[in-house]
Order: sequence, then C-alpha cells, then structure tokens
Amino acid sequence: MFEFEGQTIPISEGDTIASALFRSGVRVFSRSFKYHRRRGLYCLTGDCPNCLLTVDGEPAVRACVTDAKPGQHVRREVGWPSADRDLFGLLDRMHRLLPVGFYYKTLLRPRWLWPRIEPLVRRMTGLGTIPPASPAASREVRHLHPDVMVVGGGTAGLSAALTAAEAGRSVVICDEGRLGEKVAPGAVRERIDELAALARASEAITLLERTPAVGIYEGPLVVLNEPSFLHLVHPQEVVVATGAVELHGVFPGNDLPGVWLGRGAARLAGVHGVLPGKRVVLVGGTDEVEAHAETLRTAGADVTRVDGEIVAARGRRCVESVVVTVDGEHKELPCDALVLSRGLVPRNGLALQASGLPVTVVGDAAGADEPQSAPRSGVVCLCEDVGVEDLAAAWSEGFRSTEILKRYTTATMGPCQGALCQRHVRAFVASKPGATGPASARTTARPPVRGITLEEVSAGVRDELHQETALHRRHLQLGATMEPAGVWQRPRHYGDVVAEYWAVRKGVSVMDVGTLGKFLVAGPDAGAFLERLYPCRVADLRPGRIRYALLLGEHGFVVDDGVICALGNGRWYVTFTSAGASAAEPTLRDWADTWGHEIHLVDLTAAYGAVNVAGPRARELLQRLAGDPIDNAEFPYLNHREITVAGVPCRAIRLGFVGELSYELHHPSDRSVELWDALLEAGRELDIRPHGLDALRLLRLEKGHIIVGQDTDFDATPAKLDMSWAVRLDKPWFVGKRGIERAAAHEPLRRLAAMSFAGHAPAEGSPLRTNGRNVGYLTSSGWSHVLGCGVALGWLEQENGAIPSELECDGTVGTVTHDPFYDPAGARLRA
Amino acid sequence: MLELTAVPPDVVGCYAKPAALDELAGDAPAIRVAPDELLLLRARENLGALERELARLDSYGIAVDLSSAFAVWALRGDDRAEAFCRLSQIPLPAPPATVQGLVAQVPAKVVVGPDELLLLVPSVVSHHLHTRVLTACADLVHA
Repeated sequence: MFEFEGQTIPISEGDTIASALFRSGVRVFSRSFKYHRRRGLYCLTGDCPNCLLTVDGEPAVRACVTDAKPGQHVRREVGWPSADRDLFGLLDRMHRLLPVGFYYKTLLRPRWLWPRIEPLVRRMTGLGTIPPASPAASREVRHLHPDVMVVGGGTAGLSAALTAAEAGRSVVICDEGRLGEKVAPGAVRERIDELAALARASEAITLLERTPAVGIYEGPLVVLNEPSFLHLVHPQEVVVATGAVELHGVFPGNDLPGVWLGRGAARLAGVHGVLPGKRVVLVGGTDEVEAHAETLRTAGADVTRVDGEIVAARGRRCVESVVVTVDGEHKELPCDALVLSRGLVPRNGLALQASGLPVTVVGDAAGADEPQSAPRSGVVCLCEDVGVEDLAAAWSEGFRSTEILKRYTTATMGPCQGALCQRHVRAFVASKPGATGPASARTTARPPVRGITLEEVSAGVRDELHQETALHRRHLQLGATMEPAGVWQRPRHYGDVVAEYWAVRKGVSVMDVGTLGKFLVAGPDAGAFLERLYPCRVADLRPGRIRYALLLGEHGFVVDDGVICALGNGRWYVTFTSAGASAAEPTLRDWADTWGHEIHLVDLTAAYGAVNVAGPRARELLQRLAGDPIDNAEFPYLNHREITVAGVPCRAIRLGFVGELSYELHHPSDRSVELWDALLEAGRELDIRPHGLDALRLLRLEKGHIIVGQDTDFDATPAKLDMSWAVRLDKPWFVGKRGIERAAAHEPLRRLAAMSFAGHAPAEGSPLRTNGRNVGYLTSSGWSHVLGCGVALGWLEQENGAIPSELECDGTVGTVTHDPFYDPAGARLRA
Repeated sequence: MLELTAVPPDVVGCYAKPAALDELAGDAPAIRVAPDELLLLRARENLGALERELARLDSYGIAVDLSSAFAVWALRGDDRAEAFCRLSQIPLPAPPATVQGLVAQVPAKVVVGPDELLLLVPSVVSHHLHTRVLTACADLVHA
C-alpha cells in the first residue's frame, strides 16, 4: 500500500502508481497546465503529461511507467483546494482573457502590475514544485563501451540486439519499462517474452530495464537514465527501436478523463486487470483495433467498435458520450470510455537527434511520418494546454511556421516534446494557404526526450576539485585558514596576520610556494625558444644566474610573470605564477610547435615543492641546516644554487618578492614535509612563524610588486605597468614585441601607479577621484605597518602624458609615488 | 569486491627523440605519454644509468625523477573494472596495456595489469581521486 493525499491505496502485483490509483477509483490525475482542465489517464506509455504526479517529494514523475511501492507518498501537483475540486478550473471559462501569449501583451501597464501578478501566475500554472530542501545528490555515472547500443526493448529492438550478439558483438539494450510490460497479452506480447528470454540468457547482451534513453550526442554518446546510475554509453553503433506512439486525437472534448489511446486502455485491462470503462466506444481502423477490442471484452467491457470520424466527446467531469460520423451520419453513443486507435506516429525523437551519427532506426520508429488532415477543434498540445484556436490566433498574429508557432504558443515544448502534438501542429501549418514546405517542417529535435532532473544530469560530478600541495595537512595542523587561490587551496593566514608580517620584516618566516608553476626546458632549441618567448634577454644568462621575466601575449599584454634560471648544458628552469601554471604548458608547447623548435618541456609543478624562507634572519636559519655556503659572496641576490637543507636536495633561488632577504627552496615534493618541519624546528629560537597570503599581499605591496591578474588588466602592457625595464626592445623578435611597438605609438590612456594614503587604507576596488571626477580605481590596498600609512596600487587615467598626483579615495587623500614604498634601493634584498 | 591501495610512486620521465625512447623502453614497464616522452616505472634506482644511456642515444635527452609528481593508486579485486567504468570514460583495454585520460575528472595514466589497475595521477590531486573512488564505489570497496 501507498499513501495518496491521505488515502491508503492497495497495490496489486505488477502495478504502476497509475494503475493502482485507477483501480482505487482515481480518475482525475492532474489539471491542465494553463486552464486547469481535468486530465485522466490517456496513453499509459509515458508519452503524455496527464499522469505526472509528485512521488516522495519528487515532482513530475510519470505514474504510468513508475512501479507502485509500499510506503510511497503520492500527490497530484496542481489544483486548489484539490485536483478533484479545483477553483482555478474557472480559468477554463476565461479563454478570451487568457489568449495565447497573453503575458506578452497584457498586464504591461501600469508597470508595477506585472511583478505583482507574475508570482500568482507562476503559482497557478505549471507542473509540480521542486522541493527546496532536497537531500544531497548521490548518483554516479557509469561509462559503458558496447559495440552496439539498442534503445527500445520491443520486438524490433530485441531482434536487433540478438542479431548483433549472434554476430559476436557486445550489446547494451535499454527500455524505459520492463520488457513487454506495456503490451497487452496476445501474439505480440508472447513474441516479446520469447525474445526477452533469449536476450536475458545471452552473455553478450546487457539488459537495462526501467532505463529511458535521454538523448544521443556526438561520439556517439547515448545517455541512459537508470534509477541508480546515469549511464553514458559510448557504442560503435546505435540502433533506435523506440517504436511508435499512437496518434493523438484532436476534437472537442479530446482531453476529458475517459478518453484513451488504444494501447493504454488495452494495457490497463490486459496487464493490470482494470477496466478503463464498462461501456467502451473504440474508434479507429488500425491493425491493432481487433486485438484491443478482444482484450477489453475479455476483461469484461462492453465494447462498441466504430470506424468513422469523431465529432466530439461530451461529458461534464469525464466522458459520457461520443458523437461520431459514420457514412455521413452523426451518431451520439453513450459511453464511459472512448478508446482511440487511429494510427501510429514514429517515436523518433532520438533518431532525429542523431543526424550524421552511426544510428540505425528499426521497427515502428522507422515508419513513415505520414501527413494527415488538419485539426479543426480541440486540444492539440496536452502538455502546454494549446488548442487549435490558439494556433489559429497565433497564425493570425503572423507566426507562420512550426518553429515560430512553437516558440510563441509553446506547443511541443512540454514533457512529451512533441511526441503527441507535433504532427498536428505541422498539419495545421500545412493546411494554411500559402504555407510552404519548410514552414511546416519538423521542429529541431533536441535532448532530453524524456524528463531528467538536475541531480541526474550532474551525476558523478559533485566533489570540488582543488589541488593541494604536499604541505596541506601541515597547514591545517598549524591552524591555517585556507582559501581557494585559482585551482589551489592555500593558507590565507595562521591566525595572526600582523605577527606573520612582522616575522618577515624583522625575523624569519616560511611560506609554502609549491603552487608556483615550475618547468624544465631543455633540448637543442631550448635557448632559442626562450629567447623568442620572453621579452628579456635569456641567452646571456650564465649558469647560476636568474632573471625576472614577464610573459606577454601576442598583443604585448602581460599574461604572466616568473623567473628564468640558467642551469647550463642547454637547460633552463622556469617558473610561472600559481594561477598561470596550468596555462603555461599549452602556451609553451603552442609556441614551440609554431616555431618548429625541438625542445623538451617537463612540467615539474607537482614534482617539486617550494618553500620561501624570508626575513633578515633567513640566512642565519639556513646556515643551521645547510652545509653549503650561502653567504652573499658565494650566493648573491638573483642567483640560484643547488644546496642541501636538512638533508633535502634543493634548488635555492634568491629572490625578493616580499622585499627581504629570501631563499626559495625548490625540492622534491615528497620531501616537503621533512624540509618544512626541519625549518620550523631550527627556527624556533628565531621566533619563526609561517606566513600566509594575507601577509604576502601586504609585504609585496610595500615593495610595489604587482600580482598578475589582480593588478593587471586585459590590456596591461609593460609600459602601462611602469615595467618597461623588463623588456628589451633591441631584441630582434619576441612574443608581443609588435604589440608593444604599436602601443608605443600612442599615449596610453591609463597607467598603474603606486600611491600612499594617510589615515587608513582604502578598500580595494574603490574609485579614485580628483576634482570630483572619477579617474581610476584601486587594485591592491593595505595598511603598511612598517611605514604607518596606507599603500596601494591602482589604475589612473593619463592626460597629456601625466597622471594626477593627488587623489581622493574612500574618505582619505592619497599621493602618487614613483619609487617602491619600502626599501627603495633594495638593500635588504641584497643583504 | 574492490580494494583501493596506495602504491609508492616510482616514475622516471625520459625525454628524447622518439627513436631513442623506442630503444630505451625495451621491455621495461613504461607508459609512452607522447612520441618524445616516456614514463618508466620502477626505474628510480637506476636513474644514473638511465641518464647515461639516454645521453648515448640522444645528446639532448634527459631523464628526470618524477616520482613525487605522481600518486599511484592500485584498484584490485573482481570489481575493479566496474569501479573504473564509474570513474572514467576511457575504454579499458585487455591487459597488459597502458592508457591515459581523465579518471575521476583528473588527468591520469592507467596501467592495466592482469590483477590490478594502477592509476597514476598528479600528486596534487591524489586526495581527490581517493575521495571519488570511495564515494563512487562505496558499494564495492573492501577497505
């Protein structure tokens, strides 16, 4: 048993939610999208929108293809106070007030009206409500690689699967239901059961039931939505055997509860043993009519067969009679179920998505999409509540093709994706005088052909992917507050930013800079390659020396920076910023390929960790752990050496990003913890403490050093950054040289400038003003503890070759400076 | 049943002309990442000899110990193929073989052995692979 709006519903073997509810007397399963008309079971093949219910909080569940299970909680989605007695049903008498596309042309004035009305419209229309507090997603994906993927487990699909398996090919076959369950007992059902038994016994066939195919993509890739997994199938060949959907009948009263498609009525009676009605009128002339009639009679229905045209179905709450024309004569036949079997329409939405892909369509899905007569009256699109009258109104307003009728009326855009209504929309267009062939062409078929939740779409993709250095756990143990920095997790601080700052300025500190991009460049053309890549000189760099380098794009804009270390023997070790590391390799390889340079590029970013030991007592600390000479004479500023620190082999690089004596220790990352621990232990007497990004940003700002990405903009040339010293225009060529030369012909409109502020440091991003006019904005700002003022970098407009010298910003006054704020001569770096 | 085990990485990257790498590879367990790039497994101890051999084959050839660049995870047990298909869209070839591509959304080299799958991923995302295997294969994992 399951619960349905306070009632207890018994379940019989093989029941779907729909069949169990119908057996218990439920006739109204939903209300229509717009006019709140009563809707009952119709197709029972999962094609129409009539039985969409909320099951266990999940909206829009197709009750006719969903197993009934004990303990389920089921409710209908629309209707107030209930779907049975829905006061919004009054809307069905207000068609004149709610014409097609009414929201495009009504409620526009006064302007305050629509924002107030819109929430009401949204509440009154549509399908179910997505629960705001859904549990976290837990679905996973499975990738399958069969030779053949067969979609559809009817006779055609099973036959194709068995044929492929006999030929020695591996096969995956899926069906949105259980094999044969939608087919009433009879010859077809027996054939399906026979083939299904063979398929189940075949080792070459993987059978996935209750698994609708959602779409076909390039590859080919077929997406299957199984209850427990989202299957991504990568076959060599796809066979679409999705069968056909019965022709939807369009006539007045066609959406009354009690109007059925033939296969649905036969399934309800033959499979679930429930009569769709006691007095059944069966209209149609297909090959299946006789079988449907037999099934219904066997189940106990009084069946009247009619081979004629339906004029209208009549009834107040459900079908009570049907008016038909037979041999030119009108007849009104009383009934409580009207069953339609008037033809088949290929269910080929999947196949139509697969243009150009190795896809074969078999069975009824490959049937001809035959033209038909235009509908005259009735509901064309059950999903979106669009009638023939709505199509006519849209046509008269100038929407004169299936594609734009679709967009304006939303016909074919509902859960069935046009499976039922598209043929009628096309027939409507084709019947119009002057309509050309393309006007009535099919609309574009796109996934999904079956509804899929966002949770299902995101299966397997829910863990945040970030990179961690080898010291990640150490940072956490030291109480670091981590922050995402590009793809990395990095320590922002360890609890006391000011103390970390002073450790660098007065004592010694360490920072994990293993996030830097690190590459070895070698090969016969390595030197020539780097000379062309960088705007600085490379060839004159002696082994043991390093040089700061900008990396430019072709237009001469700064895209990254780093250092070049000459190793000798045609080898270089180059670094990039942490944010630029991932882009560095493809950039370098692109240029090498472009120039035909033979180089070896080894990405050492993960292989090497790096720890920056900085502060006036950095040398003192390292001398306790390193046996190699590191004094200024042996190891001066802007040099690198191979040294061993606490037993760990390191490439030490003397740099000065934070403006103090610094040694960047690059080492195998699997020894990072060993090195870090040794440094902290040896530095205990020196009051060593690690520093994080907050302290780093301030320390480098005091030196006026930029951070690429934060202080640069998309068009930042070295000149605009006041870094022309890093560019050698006397080189014959380097990446970005022409861009720089072109830019040099014009006065730059703005420049990055350093400025100091009294009183407080303005917030980063604040506008810079002079004489009441905005002239720029801050990119970096902070309070300098050592200088006792605010220090900042910001972009300033340049006029007549000059930038303003005094600025107002965030309630304080600033002065532009031209030298680094701290240690302008760089004596501390070279100590 | 599935077993996920961390394996000590032992990887040497060799970079040289393709012909030199062809000769160098021999029958050693290796992954040919690119025509001019070869990852030799279980070769760390012989790095010096490898460097000399490579220099003989190609004067610009280099051999670099990349063990710390990788984390290596072994998937063992009957369900290793099932686990792999939940983690990657790479078709799993018959052993012995090597393939490369995304596994659990991270770049990986895969060594397909008769009894195990070795997944080599950048050490900086090792934690991610570990988490993803345990999450995606929770019903399969033995330990």
